[in-house]
Amino acid sequence: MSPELLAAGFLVVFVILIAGFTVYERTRKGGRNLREIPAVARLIHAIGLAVEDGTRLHVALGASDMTGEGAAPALAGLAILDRVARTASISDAPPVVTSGDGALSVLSQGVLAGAYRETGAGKLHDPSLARLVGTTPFSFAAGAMPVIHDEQVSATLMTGHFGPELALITEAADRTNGFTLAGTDSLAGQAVLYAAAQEPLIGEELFAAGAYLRAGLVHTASLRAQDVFRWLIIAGILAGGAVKLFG
Amino acid sequence: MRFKAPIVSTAVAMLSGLAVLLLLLLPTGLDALYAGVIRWAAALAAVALLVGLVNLVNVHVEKSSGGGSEAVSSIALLAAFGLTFLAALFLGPNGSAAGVEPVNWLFQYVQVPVEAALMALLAVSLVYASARLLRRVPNLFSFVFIGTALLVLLGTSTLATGEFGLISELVTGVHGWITRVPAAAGARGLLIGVALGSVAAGLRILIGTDRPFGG
Amino acid sequence: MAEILCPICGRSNPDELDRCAHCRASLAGAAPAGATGSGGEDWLSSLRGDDDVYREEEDQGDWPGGEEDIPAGSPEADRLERIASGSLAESPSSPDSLPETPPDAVAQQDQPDWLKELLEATSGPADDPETAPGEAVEPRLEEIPDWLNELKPPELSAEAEEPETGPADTPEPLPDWLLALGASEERDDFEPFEMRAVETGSEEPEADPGQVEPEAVEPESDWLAGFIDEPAGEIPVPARPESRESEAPDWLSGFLEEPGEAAPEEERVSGDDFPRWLAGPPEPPHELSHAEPEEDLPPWLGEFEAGADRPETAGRFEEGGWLEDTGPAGALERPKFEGRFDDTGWQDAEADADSDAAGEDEFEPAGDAMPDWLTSALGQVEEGEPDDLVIDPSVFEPSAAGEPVAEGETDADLQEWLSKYDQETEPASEPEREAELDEDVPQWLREVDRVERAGAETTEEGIPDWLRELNELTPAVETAGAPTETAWQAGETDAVDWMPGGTAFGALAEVEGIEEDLAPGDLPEWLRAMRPIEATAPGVMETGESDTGSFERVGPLAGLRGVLSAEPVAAQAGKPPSQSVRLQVSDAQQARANQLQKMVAGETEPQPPGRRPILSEQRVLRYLIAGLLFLTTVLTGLIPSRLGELPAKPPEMDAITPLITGLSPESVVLVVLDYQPGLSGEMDAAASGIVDHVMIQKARLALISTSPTGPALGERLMGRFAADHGYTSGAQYVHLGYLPGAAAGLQLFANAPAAAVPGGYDDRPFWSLVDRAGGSPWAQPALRGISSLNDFGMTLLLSDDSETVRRWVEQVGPFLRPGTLVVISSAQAEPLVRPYLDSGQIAALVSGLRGGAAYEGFLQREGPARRAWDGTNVGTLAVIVLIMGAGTYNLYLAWEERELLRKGGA
Repeated sequence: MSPELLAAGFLVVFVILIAGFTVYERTRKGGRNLREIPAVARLIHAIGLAVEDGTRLHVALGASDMTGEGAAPALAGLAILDRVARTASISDAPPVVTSGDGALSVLSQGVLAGAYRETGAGKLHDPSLARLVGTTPFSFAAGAMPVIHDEQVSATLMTGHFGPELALITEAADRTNGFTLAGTDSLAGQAVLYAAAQEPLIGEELFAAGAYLRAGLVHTASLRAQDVFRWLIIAGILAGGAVKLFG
Repeated sequence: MRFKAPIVSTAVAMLSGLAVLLLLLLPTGLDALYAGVIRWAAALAAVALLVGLVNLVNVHVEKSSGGGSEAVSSIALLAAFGLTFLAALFLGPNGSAAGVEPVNWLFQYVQVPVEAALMALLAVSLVYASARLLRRVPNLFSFVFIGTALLVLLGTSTLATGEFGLISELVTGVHGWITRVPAAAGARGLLIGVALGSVAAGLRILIGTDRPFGG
Repeated sequence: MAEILCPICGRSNPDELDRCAHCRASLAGAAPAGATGSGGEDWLSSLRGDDDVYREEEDQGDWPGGEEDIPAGSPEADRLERIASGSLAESPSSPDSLPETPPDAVAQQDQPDWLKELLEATSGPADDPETAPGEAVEPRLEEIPDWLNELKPPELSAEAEEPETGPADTPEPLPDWLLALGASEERDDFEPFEMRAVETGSEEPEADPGQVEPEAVEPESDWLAGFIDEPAGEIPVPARPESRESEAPDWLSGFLEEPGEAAPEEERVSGDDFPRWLAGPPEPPHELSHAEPEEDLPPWLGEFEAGADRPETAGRFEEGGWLEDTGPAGALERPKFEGRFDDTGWQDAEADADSDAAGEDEFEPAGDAMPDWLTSALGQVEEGEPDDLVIDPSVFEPSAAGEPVAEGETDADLQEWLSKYDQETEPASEPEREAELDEDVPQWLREVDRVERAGAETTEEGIPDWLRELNELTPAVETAGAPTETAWQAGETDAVDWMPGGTAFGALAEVEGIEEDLAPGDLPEWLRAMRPIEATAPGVMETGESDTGSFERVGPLAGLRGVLSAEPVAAQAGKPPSQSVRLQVSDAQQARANQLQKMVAGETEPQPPGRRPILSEQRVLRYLIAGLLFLTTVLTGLIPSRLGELPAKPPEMDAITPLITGLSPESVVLVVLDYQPGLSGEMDAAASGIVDHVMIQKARLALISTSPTGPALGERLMGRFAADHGYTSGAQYVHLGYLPGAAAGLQLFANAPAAAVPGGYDDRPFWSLVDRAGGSPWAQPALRGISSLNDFGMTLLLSDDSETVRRWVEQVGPFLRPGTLVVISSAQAEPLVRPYLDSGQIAALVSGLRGGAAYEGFLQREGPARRAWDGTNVGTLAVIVLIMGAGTYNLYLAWEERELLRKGGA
C-alpha cells in the first residue's frame, strides 16, 4: 500500500472518529471530562478582566504561511480568536488582531466580522482591528510590540506559528504588566515561550484550546480523535521498540 | 437563487480543500490541474498579501492623523513603505537594470540589520526570561529547564571546556546526549501531538465545521 | 313590650321603668319609642335633636341607643335592618335560621332613592347564593395570628384585668351604620365592597348569629390573608401627636414621617360615591394635645391617654372624626372595611364549608361587655404594626369609669329586655330566644342579643375556655372605658367583623350582623348635618374642654347643644412642639463614630502618589544583561588575538567534504535559502565556508527559496562571494526566485521543477515583465542539463527552521540524488534536524556558527565564522554567568515574596 493511500485512509478514519465523537458528545450527559489546562483557565479569567476594566485583548496570530504547515496553528488561533471576539466584542475596547501573513490577515478580519455579527454587535466592528504588521517573524514581532504599548492591551494571546521571536512580544507585554498566553507549533518557539510567557501552551495544547473555550462539539470530538490516534501511536512505538529490542 | 455568502464560501473552501487533497493523495493523473491549483493558491496568497498591505496602510494612515508619537511612527512607516514599493515597482527588485540597487540596499542595510538587532535583543530577552523563570515559576521543572540550557550552552562554547580535556569531553558528551535523546524524544512527542492537532484543524475546515472566513 | 325613650340619653327603656337604665335620668314624660320613628327620615331625629344629650351621655360613659327608639317595622327600622343584615344575608343558609329577617321587598320600597341606586348598582355580588359572610368571621382561638399575639405587653395585660375595665359592663349596641361610616373614612378601596354590602344588606336576610361557629373559621381565610398582607403604606397615615413621636413604635413612626401620603389617599377615598361630608374636603389633620394635663381629662380619657398611644389620623377626623371619640379606634378603621367588605371571598368559602356546622349554639360572642381577651387584644393593636391598626379597644371595651352600671349590679338594674337577653344567653334557651326575637325585637336588638350571649360567657366565672385562652394569648389592653367610648362602643362593636385573624372579633362582628350594612355613601342629608365639628377636631375630646351645655353657633351643627367646640383645637393646631432628635450616645459610641468618620474621610482624601523608582529592579537587571552581552561580544571582537581554538569538525560533517570535492564545473548545486534575514548573521557564518568551498570547485549554482525574503538573501549571498570567484548571473549561477506554496509548492517543484518555477527571479522593472525575452531560467547556461532534481549534484539547504528542513526532506528529498542533501541549519534547529541525519535522509549537517567555524577550521580559512567565534564563545560564557547570577537573584526574590506571604498569612 502506497503512503498516499495510507495517508488517505488515515484521514478517512480521522473524519469518522470526529463524526462519531461529535455524536457522542452531543448525546452524553455530564461535563466534558477534559484534563485541566491552567493556561486556558487563566485565559478565560484574563478575558473577563479585560472586558471589565475596559482594556484591550491582543491576539497575535504570528507570521504563519497559510499555504504551508503554519496554516494549522493559524487555524487553531483563529478558532480561539473567534471565541475571544464573541466574548469581548461588546467591550469598550474590542480585541485587536495582528498577523504576519496576508491571507491570515484577511481571515482574521473575517473571523472578527463574523463574531461581531453573530453577537449582534456588527455595527461595532472595525476592520482596522485586524492588521497585518509584518511579513517575517521578526518584522511581525516589531510590528506587534507597539500595539501592546499603544492600544492599552492588558492581555496578549499568541496563538499561531511563532519562533523564538515571540520572546520579544512577551517582553513587551511584561513591560505593561499584561497577561501573556502563548502557543505555537514550533518547538523552538515552545522552548522560548516556556520561559517567556506567563501561560504557555505546550505541544498540542494549542489545538485543544478551542475545545476548552467551547468553540463547538467538533473541537471536543476532534480532541478525542487525536487521543485515539495518540494512543495508537504510543502502542505502535512501544511495539516497535519491543520488536527491535527482542527481535 | 441567491445563496448566502457563508454557504458559498464554505462550499468553496470545502471543495478546494478536498480537491487538493485528492489530487495529492490519489493517483488521478491530473498533475497539471494540481499544479494549477497550487499556483492559484500562491497567487491568491500574494493578493492576500496586497490586501494585508492595504490594511496596514489604512491603519497607519488613521494613526498618522491622530497626532502624537504614534503619528510620527506611522508617518515613518508609510514613507518607508511607499519608497520601497515604488523603487521595487519602477526599478525592479534589485534595481540592477537601472545601475542602482536601492531595494537590495534597503534590504541589506536596513532590513537585515534591523532584524539582526531584534535577534540580538531576543538574546537579551531570553536570558532575562530564563532568569525570571526562577522567580515566576520556582519549581522543579524550571530548575531542570535552566539546568539543561546551561549545560547546552556550556557544551557549545569551546572557551570554557577546551582547555580541560576531561571536562570538555564530559560536557560535550552531556550536550550531545541531551540533544540526541531527551530533546529529540521530547521533540518527537511534541511533533506527533502537533501533527495530530494540525490534521484535526485541517479536517475541521474540510468538513465545514470551522469557518474562519467569516461564515 | 312598649318602650320609651330617655329624654336625656335618648336610649330606649322599657316603659315600666321610672328611670333610664342607661343614664339614670327620670323617664317621666318620656316619649314612647315608636313616636320618634313614625315618619320618614325622623327615625334618627332623636339623635339629632338630642345631640347635646348624646354628648353628655358620652361624657358619662354611657351610650344612648338611639336605634332603640325606632319602632320595629317602621321604614327607618327596615332600613337599618336591611343595612344591618347586609353581610349576613348573603348566606343561603341564613334565612332558615333567621326567620325574623324582614322581607326585602318591603324594605326596598321604603328605601330612599339614593340607597336604591346604590343597591341597584351593586346587585350582582349580593345575589350570590353561595356567600355566607357571617361564617367566615367565626373566631378560632387556636388560629390567632401571630401578629395579634405579639401585641401583648405585660403591662397592658395587667391593666386589662382591672375591674373597672373588665368585660362585664353592659354592652351597648352601636348602630352599625355609624360604625360603617367611621370605618369607611379611611378606606381607599372600599367603594365596590361598600356597594356590595349595601346591596346584600337589602336583599339578603340576616344571618343567624347563632350559627356562627368560632371553630369553623378557616385558619387563614382570604380576607385574613389579605389583611395580613396589607401593605402598611396603604393605611391612612395617622396624625399622631407629635409629643408622642419619640415614644411611637417604629411602625407608627414610619407613618408619622409620611403624612403627605395620607392626604391624597384620603381624598381618593372620599370619592364621588360618598356623601359630600364623608368625601368632603379634607381638613388639616388635627393633632391631639397630649401635653394637656390629664387632670383635665375625664377619668376614662385619662386612662386612655396614659395607657396607649392613639394613632389618630387626620383623615379619620376629617370624615369620621365624630367616631374619634371612641379613642384609638380611629386609627383602626381602615381595615374595618377590609374585613367587612373584603370578606366576600371568605364568606363564600365559609358558607360552603361550614353551612352545616353553623349551629346556633356554636357561637357565643361577647355580649354586654367585651371580654378581656378582646379588649386587651384591641388595646394592643394600638401599639402594634400598621396592619394592626384596625382594632380599637374602645370598640369592644365596656365603659369603666363612666359606666354607672357596675358589673355586679347589672342584673338588678337592667331593663327587662336586657335581663331577658341575659337569661337567653343560656344555650338551652336559644330557640326560644330566637323565637322571641323574631316576634318583636328589631334587628339591632337581635344583635344585642348575640352580644349578650357572648357577654354571658364573659363573666368572671363563666368565661369559656376558648375566651380565656384567647385572653391569655392576646394582649390585654388598657381600658378605654370612658363614657364617650362606651357610648360608641356598640357601634364600634359592629366593626369586629373586620378584625383580622379570625379571632372572636370577627365572630362578634357577625353576631352584630349589621356591620356591613351602612355605607358612607348612604348617609342622607340629615346625617350629614349631624357631623359635628369635633369630627375634625379630635383634640377636643381629650382636652376636656367640650362644653356639653353650650350651643353650637356656627357650622352645620349650629343650634346643637353639647357639640364639642373646635376652637380649642384650632388654637392648639399651631406649630407642634419641637422634639429633640439628637441622639443620646455614649462616649464609647462617640469614639467609634469618630473613628468611623475618620476612616470614611480617609478613603476620600487624595493620597500622594508613591515615589516610583526611576528604574525598577527588573529593568536594571535587563539593562545589565544587555550591557554585559554587548560588551563581551563587541570587546571580544576587537581583540586581535584568538581566545580559543576553533571546534573540531564534528562527525556529521564528514560527508560534506567528499561531496564538495566531487563537484566539477559541470555540476550544478541547488542552494535553498530558507531563513530569516534576522538570522542571516548566524546562517551566513555557518554557510560561508561551505559555499566558498563549492565555488572553489567552480560548480554552478541554482538559488531558490520558499521564503519571500529568500531571493534577497540569495542576492546578498552571491554578492558576497560572486565577485571573489568570478561568478556571473546566468552563467555560473541562476536565481530561481521564490517558490510559493510551501509543502505543496515543494512537491510540485520536486515533480516538475520547470513547471514550479517557470520564470525565475526577474529583477527587471514591472513594465518589462510582459517581455518574456528573458526566457526561462531553466534555459540559462547555469542550469544546462538540469531537467529534474535528480540532476543536481548536491543540494545545500540553509534553514533556521526545523519545519522547513522537514518539509524539504519529506517533499523533495526523495527526488534528489541520494546522499546529496546537506543541511546548514541554525543551532536552534539542530536537535530537530539531527533525527533526519541519523536516519540517512540528509547526508550531512552543519549546525550554526559552531559548524561553520568547524568547517572553516577544517579548510583553514579565515571566514566570518572564525571572526565571530571568539565573541560567541565569550558571549556564551557571559550568558551562562548571567543566567546563573540573575537566576539566583530572582530565586531569592521569589523566596522573599513567599516568606512575606507566609508571614502575612500567619
